[in-house]
Amino acid sequence: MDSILNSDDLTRRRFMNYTSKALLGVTVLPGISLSAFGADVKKGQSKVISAPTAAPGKKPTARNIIYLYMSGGMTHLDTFDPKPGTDEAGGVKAIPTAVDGTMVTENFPLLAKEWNKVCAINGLTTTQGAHEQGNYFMHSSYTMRGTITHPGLGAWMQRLEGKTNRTLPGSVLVGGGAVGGGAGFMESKYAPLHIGSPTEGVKNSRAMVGTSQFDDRLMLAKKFDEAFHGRYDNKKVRAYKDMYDDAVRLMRSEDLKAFDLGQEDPKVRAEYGENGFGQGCLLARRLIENDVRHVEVTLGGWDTHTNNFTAVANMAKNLDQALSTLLRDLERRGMIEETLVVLTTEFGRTPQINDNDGRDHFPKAFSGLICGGSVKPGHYGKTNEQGTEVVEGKLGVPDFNATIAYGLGLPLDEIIYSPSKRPFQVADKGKPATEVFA
Amino acid sequence: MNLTSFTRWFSAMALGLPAMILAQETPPSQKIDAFIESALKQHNVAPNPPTNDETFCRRIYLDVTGRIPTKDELSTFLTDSDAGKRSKLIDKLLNSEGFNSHTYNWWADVLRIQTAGMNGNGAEAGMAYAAWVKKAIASNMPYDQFVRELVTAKGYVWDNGAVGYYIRDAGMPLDNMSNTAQVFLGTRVVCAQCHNHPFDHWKQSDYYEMAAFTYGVDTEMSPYAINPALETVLMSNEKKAKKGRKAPDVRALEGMIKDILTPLSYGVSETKRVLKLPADYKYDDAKPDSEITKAKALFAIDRVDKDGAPVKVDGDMRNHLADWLCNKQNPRFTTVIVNRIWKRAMGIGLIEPVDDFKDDTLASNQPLMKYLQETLVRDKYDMKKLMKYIYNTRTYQRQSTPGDVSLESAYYFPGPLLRRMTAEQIWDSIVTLMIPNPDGRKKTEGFQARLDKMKEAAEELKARYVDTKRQGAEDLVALAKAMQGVGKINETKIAELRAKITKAREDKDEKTARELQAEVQKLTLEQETAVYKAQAEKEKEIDAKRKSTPFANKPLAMDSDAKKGTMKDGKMMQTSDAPVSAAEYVGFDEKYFRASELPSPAPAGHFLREFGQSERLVIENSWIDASVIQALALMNGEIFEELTGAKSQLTKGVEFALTPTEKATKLWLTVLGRNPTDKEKQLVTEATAGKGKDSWKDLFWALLNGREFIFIQ
Repeated sequence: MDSILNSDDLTRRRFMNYTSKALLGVTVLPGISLSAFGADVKKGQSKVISAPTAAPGKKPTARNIIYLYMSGGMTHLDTFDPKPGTDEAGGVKAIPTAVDGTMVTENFPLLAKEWNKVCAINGLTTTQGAHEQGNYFMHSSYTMRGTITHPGLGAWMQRLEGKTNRTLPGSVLVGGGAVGGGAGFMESKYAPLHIGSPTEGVKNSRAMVGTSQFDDRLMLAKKFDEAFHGRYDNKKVRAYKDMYDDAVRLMRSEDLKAFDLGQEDPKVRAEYGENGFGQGCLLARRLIENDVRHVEVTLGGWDTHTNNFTAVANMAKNLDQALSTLLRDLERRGMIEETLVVLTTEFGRTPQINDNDGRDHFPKAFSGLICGGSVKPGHYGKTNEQGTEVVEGKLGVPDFNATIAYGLGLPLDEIIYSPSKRPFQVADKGKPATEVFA
Repeated sequence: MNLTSFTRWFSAMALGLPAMILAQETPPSQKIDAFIESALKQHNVAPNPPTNDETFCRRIYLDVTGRIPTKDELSTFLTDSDAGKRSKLIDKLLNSEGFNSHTYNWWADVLRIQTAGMNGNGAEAGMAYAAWVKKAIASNMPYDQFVRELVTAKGYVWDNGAVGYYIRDAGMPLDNMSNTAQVFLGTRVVCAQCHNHPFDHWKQSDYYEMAAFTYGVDTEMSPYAINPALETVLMSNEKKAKKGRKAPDVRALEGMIKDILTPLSYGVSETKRVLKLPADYKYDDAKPDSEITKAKALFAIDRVDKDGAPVKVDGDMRNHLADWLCNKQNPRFTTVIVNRIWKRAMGIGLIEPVDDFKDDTLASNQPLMKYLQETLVRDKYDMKKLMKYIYNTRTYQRQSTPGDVSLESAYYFPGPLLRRMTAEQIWDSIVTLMIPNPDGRKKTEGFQARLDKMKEAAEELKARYVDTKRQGAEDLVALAKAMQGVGKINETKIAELRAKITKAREDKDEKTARELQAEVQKLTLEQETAVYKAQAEKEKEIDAKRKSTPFANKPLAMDSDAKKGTMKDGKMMQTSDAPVSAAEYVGFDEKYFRASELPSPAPAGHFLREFGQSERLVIENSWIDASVIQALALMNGEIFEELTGAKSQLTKGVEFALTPTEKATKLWLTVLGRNPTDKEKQLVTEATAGKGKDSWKDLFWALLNGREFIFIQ
């Protein structure tokens, strides 16, 4: 959350890159992919993509992402990988979607109608069977280690492409605690801003006193500080001065309104669902509209070891309403092509129903969604009849994340070194499933 | 003349050190100064002027106790006319509770101590680990013993909290070795975990031979270790169950037994597990997948033959590791800790970074480094003594260097660096402004009681079921059976209420939701009580049957406590461990505890985390960068409101002063540890003219949001 001038080296490099390209027709800087300067392009316009694995002619269109994280391990059988009529289904039925040949469970009647913007990813598989480790792996593409922390996608996006809004953070996390979704080994400025509840806004962004008293206080602090600044001509000291300037700018920024859900038509708020997740999705849309490029919204409660069917039906109701509304809203506003909406979780749940009418952890096969952007609607990947094995289109966690990164036009092969000089890539060495996109 | 004294003589000659360095009777602090001043002279750097008493007092409080001094502490020092008052204060602070608290934060960052649940061992392991480190600090355990006890730790968490060193890295034995090398030897071998080190000479096989020392460590105890008969009985039960579909009661029984036995696995034991090279090992010196039969230290110790030589892999070899690691002859062992202690006082190490030594790494003042090492060895690794020498130097007591100091060029220590306070120092200073006697408010007693209870329960289980062998195990099964269902008496009611709560929340009826929630809590508690009661009764019955000594009237199952202990939201300590507050803290918000008493790390979004407390995921990962969130927290956060509220120590100290200037003086002494300057007094007069008695709050706001507050000069 710092001003673009003092934080963003990329802006300058991007400019050089741009000018040299314009004048010479070449890229002068090795290691900076062309997609880097795409970040400056106004939204809605197409951008140059240099993802190396792209098939000729393919151009993923998204540049923003709304990442919906189903915390606890979302059951695949009762959501997007229906197995109607089997013992494993536990009586959950399948319904058709707007796309021929793709079915979902009856828990998602509204989303089924919006399926022309959705691709179910039914061949996911992970190596992690515990919550924290699985969550970390999904968010960072790397397994949890005791010697390093890995950055999440929000940090990668800013690091690789810079950020576009001057005052708002580049990445926002609404509700819940993502594990492995932080700045990792990258600088702390790439960390997402946490918003506890969607209606709470940016913590402490409102002054406790009127503007004139606030200004008086600021002025007083400045005067008291003069001697100290005079004595210490020091980067660390100056950094605080800059941060206070930025903080005050943020407090007074029009952009802060992005966090104010009160500015929305009550009808729209109701449409998203008057619950934390629904309002979180609405906030995500508002932030994306204001050039925040990465927003994550968490929906917890998927750890259904007991009473799986009642619990899933309840949660799915909110999810169905919020996600279908979000996709429709993005479409209505002409933002759907530049926005990827991804839904994922740490692992699936056992097809076999346990004695408590629940399902246990199942890393071997599970489902997610990729929506919006230039996604090809329908489904990708397939499990066997019982949902216990992936039989087609298997995607490990790094592959899934590579697919997302590809959909966002991020350079998959660009190496960023940690301070300990170890090399890392946005989706480790994952291979993108480019077929997911049209 | 032996080699060491020859070297000393030689370097003294070469550097033109004054003769006093050689004199045995010269106090260590003065010797340190002589080394520093000689280097300054050699490099033509002028030392900074000495600090005044005010600056010194604030600095030494922050550096040694981790918080600003109170107004009273400051004035006690300032009015002392003793010429040796600085030394006196250093001694006092090094032996204070504040020192223990601040030093714990330092180690928690280095050792990545997580108190809120670690892997399979629950919060107990993390909290026991933290408690162990705190105890070691309070008793000033010699450093070599500290490290030895960590790397050789075994046993149950309640007997030996040091086992947290391994439990912290459960399931990651190779990473654990990398961390050991980095923390205690300043050596980065992590690259060699997967391939020969690209920037250093470590080979992958070096790494594996080193890791073989600890690969047999198991971060869990077998719950059956104490009673094989128990296993036989339980296993036959399991087998029976596996033949058909598990009936719900068999499942519940297993769950119950697991709850009873789980605490018995909280600890570290040893196995004969043998490490193998990875399947993709690609070098000529060994075959992929081959067993590591000999453990070998990373490097040999000069002039010590036996160490560094291979040791046959056979069960627990950690004593061999410790013999080599914590050896005063180990060239990097002492260097690392001396450098850390120096950096802690001065803001920058004699060697930077502190944990990435190479063969050609040299300290910016090599003779001083050597002297400090000899001193620590001579003092038998008494860290406090070394700190005392350093804080008593002229060098430490000089003004801090005003400009930027680059890590690229050598720093010769004309004085310490200007530092931003750590997250913990800022927080603890705020706590100091808020509550009386900030170092005395403790949370740990509640936790200790829990550990004691676990230990007791474990011992009783052990005594009962070991002695009676097979029969004991059957009793355990009988006990578990008797308790089945008891824990679910209110299940249906609770489920109904939960549905109602969801409905109420959807209807935005928070009030009803809260009331229903309270009802759920009541019913849950009822269930828990029923379990404890049933258990106690059944135990009594079994005891009577066996006519043995009456079984203590306390429940065995640790389940409900253990579950509470793994909560991650930081509230755990407040619910189950809330201590009986001492009278002086009554009425103060639960959040105002020093950082060392709060969960480690503090939950995401906590003030501490926003100001850079480490997540405790990787070694020394705290940070001191400025952020907008910090500025917002200090400008608009609740902290300001609370510090200017009626109860806070700050308000109490300031509000009765009559004139604005008097108020300002108290404010400046309390917050910045000094008197206001004339210019500041002038500004105060202007700013408060015509304003009410609360105008001091504006002044305080300005100080809280100024640079001087969060920096250590």
